[in-house]
Order: sequence, then structure tokens, then C-alpha cells
Amino acid sequence: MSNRLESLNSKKAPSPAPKVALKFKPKVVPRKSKEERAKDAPIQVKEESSGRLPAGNGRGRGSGRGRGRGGRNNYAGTHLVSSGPLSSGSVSLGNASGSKLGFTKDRAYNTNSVSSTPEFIQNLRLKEGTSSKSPGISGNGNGNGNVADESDDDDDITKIDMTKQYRFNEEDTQLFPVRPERQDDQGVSAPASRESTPVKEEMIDDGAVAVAVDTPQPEVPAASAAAQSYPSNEEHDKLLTDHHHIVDLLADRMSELNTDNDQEDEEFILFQLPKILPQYQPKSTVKAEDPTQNDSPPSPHIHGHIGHFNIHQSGKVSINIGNDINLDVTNGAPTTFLQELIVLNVPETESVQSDPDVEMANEQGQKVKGNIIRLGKVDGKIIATPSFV
Amino acid sequence: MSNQLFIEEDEDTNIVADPEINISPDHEEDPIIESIPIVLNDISSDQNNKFQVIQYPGRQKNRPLQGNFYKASVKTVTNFLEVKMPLDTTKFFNGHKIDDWGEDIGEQTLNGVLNKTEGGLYAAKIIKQDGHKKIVLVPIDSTAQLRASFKYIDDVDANNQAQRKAEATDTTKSTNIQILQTASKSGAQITHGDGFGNALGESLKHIKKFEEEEWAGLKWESADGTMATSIRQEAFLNAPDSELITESDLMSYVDDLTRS
Repeated sequence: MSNRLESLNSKKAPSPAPKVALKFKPKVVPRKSKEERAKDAPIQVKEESSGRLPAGNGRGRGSGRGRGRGGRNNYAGTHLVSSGPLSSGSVSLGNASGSKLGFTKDRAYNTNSVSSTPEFIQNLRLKEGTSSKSPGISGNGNGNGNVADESDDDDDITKIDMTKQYRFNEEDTQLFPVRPERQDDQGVSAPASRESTPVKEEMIDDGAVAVAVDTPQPEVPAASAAAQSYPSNEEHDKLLTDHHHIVDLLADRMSELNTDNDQEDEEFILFQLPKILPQYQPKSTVKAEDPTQNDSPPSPHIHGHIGHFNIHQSGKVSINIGNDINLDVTNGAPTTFLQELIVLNVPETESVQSDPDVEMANEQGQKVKGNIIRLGKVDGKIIATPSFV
Repeated sequence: MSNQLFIEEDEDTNIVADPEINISPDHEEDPIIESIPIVLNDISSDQNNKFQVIQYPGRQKNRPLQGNFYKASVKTVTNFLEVKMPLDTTKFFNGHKIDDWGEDIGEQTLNGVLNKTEGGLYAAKIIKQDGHKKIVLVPIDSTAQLRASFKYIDDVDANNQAQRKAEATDTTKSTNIQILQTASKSGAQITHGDGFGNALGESLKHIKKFEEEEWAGLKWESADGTMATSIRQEAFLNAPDSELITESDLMSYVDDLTRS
């Protein structure tokens, strides 16, 4: 037996010793007492927690937070600046450390406690004598021994007591939402443009007619009130500028007339009227009722006085081309390039050219058949469109 | 704090309802302080004088044409106007380019199409007669934008291409046949296409017509010449002052306008 199991037997004796060595023995970390943990915590935190601890009831959250901070040593030397509704101000501060937590908590690293308080919070002063505890909480036994603590908290305005009702000055607490400044003219124009929509126009007409009964032409002013209220004030201002410009343009030309009648370079203005003008007839023929003159068909070419260019007191300009046909006047697009008025005179029949001077050929061998007569410069354009005013 | 946080619902009621504070008042409240008579003088039918507005997009408005050393020619059927202006060859002018582009570069060629206005456009002038001001309108027949033409460069290119083509046809005859084939194909496509073929045909016809039409030379008359003065006198200063009346009112006039 001993021979057969010799090798085994020989090893049996030392084997129990390593087994004992391999036996798992959990390392028990001894639980630290409260005092020991407080000793390990950084000094700054200790101050804060000690300041808050006596608050006792209702302050559990504050003291708990202090302990939590103490556990993380990586924020040593820091302190909590603010929390709660006032913390939104940290967005405008532009945190130099680039902390992403700025929305809810503002941690000022490596700074002393008081100097890191944002300026706007420092400016936030309580109205004297207006701060009061809410009635329910005040009777909650906050304790006469805690008076000193309360006064400390009052001094440090970065700490907010949720049980207190703060009455800050209103101008200091413009936090959100910030309303854009309202422009008065927009406020006025909105209802005006709303009323003058095409749907309601008829109603306005009726009402306005009723009001303007005593005027000699009741319908025209009524329509004008409705139509003129349509463009917004901005458009109206542009129109006024246009009108001033037109009047200036005409005044310019008038002053040229007064100063120098035989000016070498004459200037013209372009007028754009509707393509079709009303049918005109000479005033004298209507009065005389002369049948001989009426026999001839009305000439499509108009020669004579067709209307008036009116300048109103308000600076508005308009054109009247007979009866109640008024045209609104606007300024055409200005040009930067040269425009000239010329007359092209090319007789269609060659027999007309009896003048030997005209019949000569120019340098290029082209037969000269007519004239191009330059009359002067064209500057400015006035556009007249039918007005339903 | 509470005032800033919440928008008052009744804020709109604070706005004073005064919508016409900036709006022009009616005629009664806005009297006419000055009224200038408008005289229309349509003299275009009386003679062959046709008033045109010429625009020079490449020329500043403070550089009007002066003197009468300009040469103009027109193609009356196709309404094409050409004006040649001499250039100042002493400044910024490369005389050696005459070898490449020819003698024509000594003057700038401006040309453009005379577009009919279809009525409605008038040249106006304010004149003062016997102490009374009036605005005289003369209808404008057509307008034209004259832009610089560099045809001499195109001519050089066209000559070069023609030369190259001529050389190519001399060397190989097969290419000549191919060209004929493609030409016939494209011609068939043109005739089969709807609208497009017609438009192209029309424009080709117009170009042919334009090229065949002879230039009619024009004698340039400056603005201070006797002809210009007499036309200004006739058209503007001697405009008839007889008063015209119309029986149509606003509604019938608007009807006429919308019917047209």
C-alpha cells in the first residue's frame, strides 16, 4: 500500500497548509464615526455645513448637500454660488470656466466665497421691512435659538430660504420672459389694416357715408378713407418721400426756367400715364354745338390742355385729367445712366428729300436719308396710375 | 417680478384707436395749394418727327453727348439704331490693336433696337409763359437702349473660322458630306418641332431681313442747333393751350382701361 501510494502520501502532509493560506478573508473597512468623517472633509465645506446644520427642521436638504460636496475632493476650495430661480442669471455672466452646469448651479473655482457673488445678485437689495416669513412656516418652531443663523442667511443673499417670501425691487428682477419693446406705430397700424380688408370694405363705406352725409360729395371721401387706410404707414411714408421728390424735381426745373431761359442743355422728365386717355373734345365746340366741326371724327392725336398737376398742402401730389378722374403719382425708378430725348426724322418717301444737303452720303458710303436731332437730357420719371380715391 | 413674468391680456385695450393719425386727410382737409395745367401736344402725326428716348446704359448721366461729331444710321424697317462715337485715342488706347481688329476701333459703336412704347410714355417739360407755369407732354414713339458692340472682334473670329473651314474642306471631302447630312437632319427636326421651329424660323427670317436691309444714314443735329431749337419751340413752347374737356367719369374711364 505504502509503495503504491507513496508519492501521494508523501505530498499529503504539506497540502493542508496552502489551503489555509488561500482561504478568503474579506477586508472589513471599519466604519468611520461622524466626527472622523467631518475631520476628513475640506475646511470650506465644513464651514458651510456647520452654518446650515443648526437649521434643523426643513433644512435637511441644505446640510445634505454640504456633505455630498465634502465627499468629492476634486472640487476642493469651491463653493456653491446660487441655486433656485436666481441661478438663471448665470447665463448672462458668461462663466469663464466654461462650466456646462451654469444653468442650475454656478461653481466658482478657486475663488473666495464673497467676491464670486455675481454683481447683479449683490445689487439685489431687499426692500426694507417688506421681507416676511410666510405665516405657516413661521409658526413651525424655527426656534428662538436660530435667530443668529437667520440673520446670517439674510446677509448671504445667494442662499435662498424657500420658506420665506422675498420682495425684491421689480427693476432688479427682470429675469424672464423678456418682452420685446413694442413699437407704437405698429400697434396702431394693425387694427387699421385689419379693418380695410376687401371683405369689410363695403361695411366701412356704408358707415363712412353715414358719417359724411353733410359733405358735398359723400361717396368720394368715404371711399378715400377706406382706400387710404390700406397701405401701412411705412408705405405711406415712402409715398410721401416720393411726392416730395417729385415736387423737388419740378421745382428744380422751374428754377432753371427762372434763372436761364436759353439753357444749352435742356432737361426733360418722363411721364408715364395710362395707355388710354379719356376721349377729349374742345371745350368751344361743345358750347357752340357747331355741327360742321362735329362732323369730323375725333382725332386720336390730342392737342390741348387735358388736366392739372395738383400739389396738396400735405405734400401729396396728384393729377386730374378731367371730371373726377384723378391719378395717383409716384416716382419712377431712378437711373444712373444717361438718357436723352431725340427726334428721329426719316421721311418715308424719297421724293421729299429735295434738299441737296440731305441727299449726300456719309463717310461710310451710307445714303443720308434723315436726321437724328438731339433735344436734351432726360432725367427722372413720374408714374401716374388711376386713383380710386 | 410678477409684472414681467406674465403678459397682461388686456394690454391691447391700452392702445388708442387712432388709425388715421398718419393717413392723408381727405380733399376737404388737404386743399390743393398749387395746380399746374398739363398740356398734351401730340405732334408725331403731323410730320415724320418721332420722339424717342435713347438710353445709354454704359454712360454716366452726368456725361451728356456734346457737339455733333457722332455718326448715326438706322434700319427703319427692322427698327435698329446705331451710333458711332469717336474715342479719345490719346489715352488708354492701344493703337497696335488696329493691326488685329482694323481701323474701326477708333470709334465706339453703340446699337440697339427701337422698341415701340404702345403709348402712355411722354416727355415732359415745364415751361413758363406769361408768368404761368404749365407742363407740356409730348408722346414718345419708342425707346432704345444703346449698348456697345464689339463686332470687329466677332468679325475676326468669323474670318478665322471661315478660313479653317475652307482648309478642312480642301483636304478631306468626306467631312463635307457629313456636314451636309447633319444639316439636313437638323432641318427636319426644326420643321417637325411645334412652336420652337416656328420661333426659330421667324428669328432667322428676321435676321435675314435685318442683314439685307440697307443702312439709312442720319445727319446728327446737336441740341443747340437750329433744328433742335425749332422742334423744341414747336413741340413744347408753342403747344396749343386750348382747353379740352371729357364727358367720361372715373367709372367709365376705368371700364375703358380694363376693356383694352
